[in-house]
Amino acid sequence: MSGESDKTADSTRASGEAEISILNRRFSGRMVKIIVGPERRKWAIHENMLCPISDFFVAALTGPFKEREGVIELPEEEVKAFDLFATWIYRPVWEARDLPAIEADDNLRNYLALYVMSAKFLVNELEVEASGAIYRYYTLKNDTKINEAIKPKAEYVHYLFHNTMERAGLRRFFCDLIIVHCKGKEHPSKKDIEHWQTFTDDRADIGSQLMQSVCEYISGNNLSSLLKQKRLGEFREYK
Amino acid sequence: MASRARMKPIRRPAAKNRETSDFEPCWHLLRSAMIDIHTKNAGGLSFEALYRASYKIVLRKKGELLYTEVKSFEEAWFRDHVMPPIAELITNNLINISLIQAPGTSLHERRQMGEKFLRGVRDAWVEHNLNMNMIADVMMYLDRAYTAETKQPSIFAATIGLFRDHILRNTLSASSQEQLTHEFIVFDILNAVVLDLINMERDGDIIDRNLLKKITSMLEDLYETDEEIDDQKLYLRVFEPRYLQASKAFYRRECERLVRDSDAGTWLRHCRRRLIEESDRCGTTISLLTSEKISKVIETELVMAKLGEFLAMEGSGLKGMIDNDRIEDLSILYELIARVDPSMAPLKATLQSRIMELGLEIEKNLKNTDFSVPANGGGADGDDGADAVDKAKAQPLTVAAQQTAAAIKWVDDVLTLKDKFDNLWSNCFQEDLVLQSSITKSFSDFINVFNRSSEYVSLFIDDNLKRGTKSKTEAEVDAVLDKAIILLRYLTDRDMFERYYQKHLARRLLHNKSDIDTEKDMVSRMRSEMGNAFTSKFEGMFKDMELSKDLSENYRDHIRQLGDVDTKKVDLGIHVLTTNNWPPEVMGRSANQEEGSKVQCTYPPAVKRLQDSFYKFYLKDRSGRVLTWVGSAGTADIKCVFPKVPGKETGPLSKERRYELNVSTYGMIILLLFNDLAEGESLSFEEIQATTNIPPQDLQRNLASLSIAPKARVLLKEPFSKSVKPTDKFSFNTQFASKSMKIKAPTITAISKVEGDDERRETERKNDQTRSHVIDAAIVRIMKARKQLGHTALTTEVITQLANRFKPEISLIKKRIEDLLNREYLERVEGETAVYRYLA
Repeated sequence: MSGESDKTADSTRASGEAEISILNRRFSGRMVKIIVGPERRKWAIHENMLCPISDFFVAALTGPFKEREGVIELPEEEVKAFDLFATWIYRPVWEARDLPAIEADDNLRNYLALYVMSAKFLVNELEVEASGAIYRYYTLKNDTKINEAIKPKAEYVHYLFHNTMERAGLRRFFCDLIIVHCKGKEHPSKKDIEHWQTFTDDRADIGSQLMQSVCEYISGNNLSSLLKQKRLGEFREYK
Repeated sequence: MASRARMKPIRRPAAKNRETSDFEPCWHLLRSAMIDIHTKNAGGLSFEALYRASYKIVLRKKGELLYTEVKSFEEAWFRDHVMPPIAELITNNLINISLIQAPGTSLHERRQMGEKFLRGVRDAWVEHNLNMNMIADVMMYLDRAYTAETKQPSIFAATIGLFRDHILRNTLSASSQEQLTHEFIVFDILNAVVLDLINMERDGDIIDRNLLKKITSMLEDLYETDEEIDDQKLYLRVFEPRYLQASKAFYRRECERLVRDSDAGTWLRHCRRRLIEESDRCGTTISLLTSEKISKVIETELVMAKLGEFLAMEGSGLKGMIDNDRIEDLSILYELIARVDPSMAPLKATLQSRIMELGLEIEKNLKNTDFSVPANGGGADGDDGADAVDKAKAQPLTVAAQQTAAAIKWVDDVLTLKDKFDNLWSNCFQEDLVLQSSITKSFSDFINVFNRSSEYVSLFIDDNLKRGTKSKTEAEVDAVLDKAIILLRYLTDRDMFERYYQKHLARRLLHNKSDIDTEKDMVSRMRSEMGNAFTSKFEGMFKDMELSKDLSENYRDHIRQLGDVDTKKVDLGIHVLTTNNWPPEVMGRSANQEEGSKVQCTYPPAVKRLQDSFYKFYLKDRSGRVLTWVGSAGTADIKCVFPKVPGKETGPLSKERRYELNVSTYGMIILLLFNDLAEGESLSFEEIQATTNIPPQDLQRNLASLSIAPKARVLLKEPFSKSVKPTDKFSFNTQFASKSMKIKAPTITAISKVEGDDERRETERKNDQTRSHVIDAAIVRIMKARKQLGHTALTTEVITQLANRFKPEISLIKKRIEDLLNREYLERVEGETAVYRYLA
């Protein structure tokens, strides 16, 4: 089904004018109006930019449903995350620019939402890129050691576990982070213990994932080395 | 809701309530949407909302539940809404017609009922397929995140398969109003109806192809199981085998009908049409997957099954096609056979035997012609108008020339046959290499079976080169030479041909019968075809001719400078011939002379002086050479004066007459004798022979040419008769008169003619002698290189080495080996049978 929407008038065009054809294929055809979040922020995005990245858009826009008119409402997505999403969609036009780096914790939240959204709409490529950006935020420049200055917020861990499937790579990464930050605390303070409680509160699956990380750690595996590129590949949730 | 009972108990009570509460509203939304989709009311639904609902269920780990709910919803829907209309189409009538082929139904009825049923199936399928696609879209996240992870069939595969399980593999009898009388499944009916319709189309009916195409593509979209394994399409597993089987039966019947009622031409066109039809049918009605397989069915059932019988048909079979040049028939036949048998075996065999037959027929015709010729030539007058011209021309030469004509006819016939098959080969057989070599082989076979082929080919060339300079254009001569070369390729006894060609060429050259440039052209063609060794003698002959021309001129200059009066103005034109290059007959070395001493005839003193003078001149530059004068091969121009006949006052005889007479050298010697004779005296045959020492046969022939043929009867023979006998007497014919100034005495040897049987045996004997030497040389050459070799290996090698010249007889090789053993070139190796060693 995917790619069917590419079959617009330009498909008959001669292959000679390659440069023009690529742009033309993307930017010809109709504009899709996308209304995001409770605040109903509107985007106008080329149908031919949307469809190649996800079968969700193909099914929505070419099926017999309401969306066939060219309007997609995404009431439960977050505006800032969709902003990143749209930026990434048009990335081929800006000459393959990476996602902007994460500057602060507030920003990180949007990347988590982007990670969740791309998984939801089956955009695997963006899923990997978003998790990569998040990984880079928590590690030092050379990507191999965890930046101990930044602690993972309980709120984020909760968001992540609430909105991803069991095998999501980032789940594991966040639990690794928590364990690494426990290092050196032979006598944890009451504050620490309270903090930990907030992690596992009401979430059996967080507790279970944390135990996995602990097991690996006490078995002698150096967590920070496990955080290398190799593990990054596991961030991809589905094959 | 019934499905709730299937939910797994959840171990974490804390999470249970929240997650269960998420499922209910979402599933409710999806369920009502699915009903809308089935009832074509999806237009107002938000895809995003539905997608989000299924996404959330999966995210909350209820994928399994959703999967089973969707499946059971669809199963129920299918049972209640899709199956009943199909079941209604299944009537006893339909079953009777399609499965049992009950009699009493018209074609039209059958077609209508079948198409109605198929249309019902198609509509249900199209609908089902569309809906399942939409639902699969809504359940996309379920498929990706749950179904694929748990290795279950996708929602689409699981629901589309309902059509297979509940319709195709069902009897549907329970839901039918009528009590059905036979056990069946719907798939059987479907196949039977489709096959019936296709057979109707094969018989010329018009059917709804699009409908069938939809049905077959449905079968291509369905698989044996929900796993959808690629080679388990229902089309391939169920439909196609039955289709091929039914087609097989159809074409088997058709072929039997054709072989009974039609001729081969009809059959060929029918096969071709069916092949095209079936291939088209795969594109328009069935599936391209079947193309090759159905072609195979036609090839076995329609083409191959009765191939032999069709090819053997009287008149229209292969023989008839070849004999009547049925180009189109043969082209189709070739194409068909090329499909089934690249070795072309069936075509090849008949083709070869037909060529052989036609070739032998040529020979037979020739024998008949030979038989009739003497009757015409011998009789005083021909009864056949067509022969009149031929005879008039050939009159003085009698039977011989007509035999020559027969030889030329043979070559012409062979060439015509060759043209015919070349034409078939390029127009019908797509220049197939296998067929080319078998055609060539057959030609070579029958040509070499005919024992006079070498002689005839040479005669054919002789005839064309002699006539070529007169009446034919260069292009025509060129074409003839090309053809001659083609025939030459077929000959295996090339040494025989060489011998004949040498003889014929010598005559043409010495008597200046042909154009020297054309001769050289021909020989150079032979060289490129058969190598330098083959033509070296012929080239030597050309060289002799050129050198002689110069020599004659130089000698003439030499004489002029001397101012020699002794020669009595005898002008000498001489051909100095190198012995090895020229045939022995020309060189005066005929069989009997070879054995006995060489007979040199006695030349008159005037001529003798001329010979001595020339010999002296010749030796000035070339000492040590010997010249032998060949009287039988030369000619002389004699100026004769016939004095006024006393008593005659009017007419040509009343004046003195001067003629220039062209006779053979022997003829000149004879005539010079009469110069010295007084009027009224005569010479007897024996006297002439005693004086001149000309061999009796030659003398007889030359006297005949001067005393019998009316146009050159300068001698009178006593008694006058048609032949010369040793007792005859000859005298000067004073009464001789002729209208032309230049008279040519007819010479018998100048005409190339077919050899008589005796002559031919003689030629063969001589050829065998030469062959013996060639084989000896080959054996010695081989043994010198190998030192030691077994008998069989040696024989094989000899044959291989000589293949280019002739095909030696095994017995002859054996004889030569024995001879070489006797002469101690070879010895037997002791202790081993039939192994030879070379003795240096």
